[in-house]
Amino acid sequence: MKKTLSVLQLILFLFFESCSDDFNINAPYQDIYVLNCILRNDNSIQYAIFSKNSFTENGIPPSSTSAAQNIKEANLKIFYNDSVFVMRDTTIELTDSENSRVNCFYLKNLILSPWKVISIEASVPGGKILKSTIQVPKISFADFSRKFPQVTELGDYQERPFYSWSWVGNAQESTAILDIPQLEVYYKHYEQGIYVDKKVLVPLAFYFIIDQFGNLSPVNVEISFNTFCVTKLETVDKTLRDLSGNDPHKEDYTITKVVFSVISMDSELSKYYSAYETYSENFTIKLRQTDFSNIEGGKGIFGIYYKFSLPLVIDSRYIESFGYRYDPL
Amino acid sequence: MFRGEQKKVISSSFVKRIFLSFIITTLIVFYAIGQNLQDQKVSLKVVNMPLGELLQILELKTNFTFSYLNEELPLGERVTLNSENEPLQQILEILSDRFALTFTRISNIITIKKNQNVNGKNKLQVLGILRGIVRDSATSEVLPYANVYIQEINTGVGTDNRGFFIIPSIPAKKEYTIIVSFVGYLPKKIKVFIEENKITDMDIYLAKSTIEIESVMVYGERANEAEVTVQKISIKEIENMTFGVETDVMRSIQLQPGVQSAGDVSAKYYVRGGASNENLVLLNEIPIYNPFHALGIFSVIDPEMINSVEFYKGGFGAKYDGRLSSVMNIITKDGNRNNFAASVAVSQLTVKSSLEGPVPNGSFIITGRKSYSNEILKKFTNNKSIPIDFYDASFKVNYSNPEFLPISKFTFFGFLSKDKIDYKNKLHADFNWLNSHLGFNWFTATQNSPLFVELTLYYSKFSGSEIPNSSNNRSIENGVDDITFKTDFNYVLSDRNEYYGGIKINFIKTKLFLANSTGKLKNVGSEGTMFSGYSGFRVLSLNKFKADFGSRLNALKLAEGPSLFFEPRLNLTYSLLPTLNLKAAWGIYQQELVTISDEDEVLALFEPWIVTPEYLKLSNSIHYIGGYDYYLTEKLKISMEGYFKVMHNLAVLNDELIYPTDKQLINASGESHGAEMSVNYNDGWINAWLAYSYSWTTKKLRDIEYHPRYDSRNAIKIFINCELGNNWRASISWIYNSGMPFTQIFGYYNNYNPSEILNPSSLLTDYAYFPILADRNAAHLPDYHRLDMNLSKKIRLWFMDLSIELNVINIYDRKNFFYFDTKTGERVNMLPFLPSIDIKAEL
Repeated sequence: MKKTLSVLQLILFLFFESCSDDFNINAPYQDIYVLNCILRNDNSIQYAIFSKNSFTENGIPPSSTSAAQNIKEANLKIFYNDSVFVMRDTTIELTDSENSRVNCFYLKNLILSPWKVISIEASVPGGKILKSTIQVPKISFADFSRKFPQVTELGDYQERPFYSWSWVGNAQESTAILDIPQLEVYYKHYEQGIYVDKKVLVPLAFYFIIDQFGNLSPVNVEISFNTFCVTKLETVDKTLRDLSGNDPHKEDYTITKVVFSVISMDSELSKYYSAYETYSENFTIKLRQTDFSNIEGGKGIFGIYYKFSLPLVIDSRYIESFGYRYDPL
Repeated sequence: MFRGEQKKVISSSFVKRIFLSFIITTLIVFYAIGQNLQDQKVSLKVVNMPLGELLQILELKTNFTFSYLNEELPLGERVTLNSENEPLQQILEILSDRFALTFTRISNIITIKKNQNVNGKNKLQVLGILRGIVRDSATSEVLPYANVYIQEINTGVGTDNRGFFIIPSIPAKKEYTIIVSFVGYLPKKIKVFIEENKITDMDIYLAKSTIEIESVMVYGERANEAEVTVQKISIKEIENMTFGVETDVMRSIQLQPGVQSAGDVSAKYYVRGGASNENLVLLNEIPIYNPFHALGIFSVIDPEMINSVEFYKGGFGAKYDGRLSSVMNIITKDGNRNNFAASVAVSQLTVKSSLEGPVPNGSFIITGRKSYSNEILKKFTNNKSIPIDFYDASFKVNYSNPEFLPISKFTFFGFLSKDKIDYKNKLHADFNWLNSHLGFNWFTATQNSPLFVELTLYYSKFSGSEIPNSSNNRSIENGVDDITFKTDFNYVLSDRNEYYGGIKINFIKTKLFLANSTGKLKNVGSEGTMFSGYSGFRVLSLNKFKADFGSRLNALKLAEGPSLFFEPRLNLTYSLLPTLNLKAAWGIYQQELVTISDEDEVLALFEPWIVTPEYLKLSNSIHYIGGYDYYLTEKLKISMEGYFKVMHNLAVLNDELIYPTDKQLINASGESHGAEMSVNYNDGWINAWLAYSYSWTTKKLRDIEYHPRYDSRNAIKIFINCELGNNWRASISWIYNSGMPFTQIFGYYNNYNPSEILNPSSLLTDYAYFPILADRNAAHLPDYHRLDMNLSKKIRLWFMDLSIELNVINIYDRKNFFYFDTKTGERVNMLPFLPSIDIKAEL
């Protein structure tokens, strides 16, 4: 009987002892600074965002991102070509964003050259220093890529002809670089007595999908490690045809140039992009996600976005076959 | 010391108190043992006293009563003793040696029998062998784990999972009384004549009892199998252990100490610190690679098809291979050999049916189950509606014709389970996963030799795929094709010792197509042939000491590594007292097939299987186990086991995976240790246990040590099943786990989303809050506990037996913490108060 009572006592003790819900999602707070800076050669101003982690009660994340709370009290410097460039703080008014005011740092007229090493350093009043170093990527195009159109027969594929481009990344062998190829057609359209400059992006795609409205939608080439891209000539044809649509005045359209470009990310930004895009289907609930950063002493990303452009040599007969004019700039 | 260990929700004093109570209980057991025989001191001096008179004097001087048959003991033989305050046990040992007696204590009654196997008195006797199968008289279904006991020589064995038993070394030319018993059946006494140098075969049929009668336990013979850490469960016990919406063997098993669940939602289980992919699940000896339906919520094994389950928590013998932690061997029913029978059952989740009946010289059974409603599933998925549809089906046909081939059974069986998630919208990805197998088994025992052989040929397949359609998801396709031929044999020697062994040839092909960032699929699977063998020797002839020495040899492997790999295994049991068995086990285990699974996923669709990639070392583990079983009374047993498990080269998900082309897995190491104690009571009407386990598991990845998410320090499991009479049955279960490890956060930061990187203003605007994680799993969630209840009633209605079950999960609606969603800050709880009803009709 005594044993039974003891067991019962133990059970009741455990039961009530275990009803405690003392639990804290937050680890003891510590300041963690975040630096995001992506240098681009397609923009005359370079931006950097400097921020700090938010401490929230019971682990509930802030209701929305608040870029206005980004920190301005820091010194940001860029080291490049044996020179030091100081980034200045500012507040930008954005019209097309929920967060209309953004605190950030900027730097004008930084000319980036392929293959150069570039560093960033951020220091906060407490003495904390964040820094990172990267290298500007470089690519070179294959000779055959310059001709437009240039039909390539690829034996492995059933359908032809195809149009292809190829380039070579000059990154170090051990680092992977993500590239985004683009084909842009620049043209002028005669509208109400004046020529209006316009641009259309050719979807570099193998296929079309049926979207939610039942229409055929092109699939753009995704960011990848590929150093080539191939598209059906009919995709280029379709883009050029759609450029004027049902407008019977084809002669009002003048093609001025066709540019093939490759946007290349440096190896660190490539890792950040890939880690962010790490795939997970909707049903899987993960408690940890990859959180890549190349910022020493904090979090965030310092990377290069470099657009390499290759104006193509156009065969005017191809343009004229659509009824358009060809007028190289 | 991990950060957060100091901040555990359970205070260290609480843990100490629990641990102390555990130690105290253990000490009480040993104290009780000592009190009974060791500490019972006796002083007496007798010269040439008849044994009968001496026993009477001992009864007067102690609290014990002796029970014996007058004609069996040499009561008239005289004995001289001079004892000065000596333990009773010592006096009994003297008498045992002198008169070849065995003493069996049950409570304060000591049964004395003549020991037939000692000192060569019977060495010149001619011997015979008794062999047979125990079956249900109504259906002829075999009855695993029944007791077969020969009264005259105080010897007994249990039947194996085929209902098969063999008792060698029986003095021949005599008639014996065989008592066969099994829980829920009327015991049967059979007279059988054992012929000299021959095997006497018999089929024994037991009739079901309308009242619950406890099984006759065979004291002094419990250690006849040198197995440690094995739980043998009949289907009746599984049915009584409803733990969830409907009976599920993988949820029922979680009521055992040392078996851990990561939450109410998943039927996945973790054994003694091992990951879920380290558990081998066999259905009729065939591996099921993904034994779960619907996000792991239910197992694919329909209880309607199960006849018995053997579950090894560690230290398993050389017969089993390919996993590091545990083995669950499920044997399905053969089907009714006498009459056709059918059943239909409906729960709030599935509808299922079975059909069984006789075929010439055999029987068949077909089962099927299909989900029909997702309403109950919503409770498991945080009220998200997921269009899951699943079904499973099985069949088994067996044939045994003594005129064609005596003592043989041919079995042909198949199994299929399929799940799919289909939104019927091309903008969503679709998911399919499937298990199937087809097998053939021939079991035969040679007519005049105690040798039995089993040949098995099977094909087992798993496939899982994600079809992205027009969504942004990436394609995944995984498959395992496993064609295996294996043979196993056992040879029982005349002294009861046993040789066993076997060979196994597997042809395995795995494929895993992973899409890279361009959507291109790359196969990282492989194929090849594996050849392995095992052999061993069981020492069962000694009275007190039993042992099982075995080893596996893997000669051909799929994965890289040493060309030969030995996996020695050892199991020992020693009967210190008739009521106390000490046991120990040791073994090395290796695993070649691994899954790409993320232990930080609280819910996952399926885990892709691959052969250990060439860039990884093969996983292996070493088990060290020790413990005891002590029978306080015939109905009350205390068990305790301690274990230490070392895991090398575990294949775990690369936590720094950045590119889809990166190595998916990396090697980690692990270690777990703990102790489990249980008190079991079974009197036929009430079956109950109280189990406590203490466990400690760590893993080491990139030189950082952490506790895996399923490492609960203290666990208490209480289960009571009660036959209330008049076909009413009730059971309750209560589970307590100290809080699981989790990772705290240092708050959130503005994380740049590069998806729109082509837009120059993206850096200024595209941000989302992202948690900054603290040390991995260094803190603990609140404690978990849950009380479930099951009430059932069987009624005879016209031409059928109707069974109605009411299940109530989480009776007091405890808000058990499942996980913290850092994206939303939402605390997601496990199952709430959830009643459900099952109805089953048997024709």
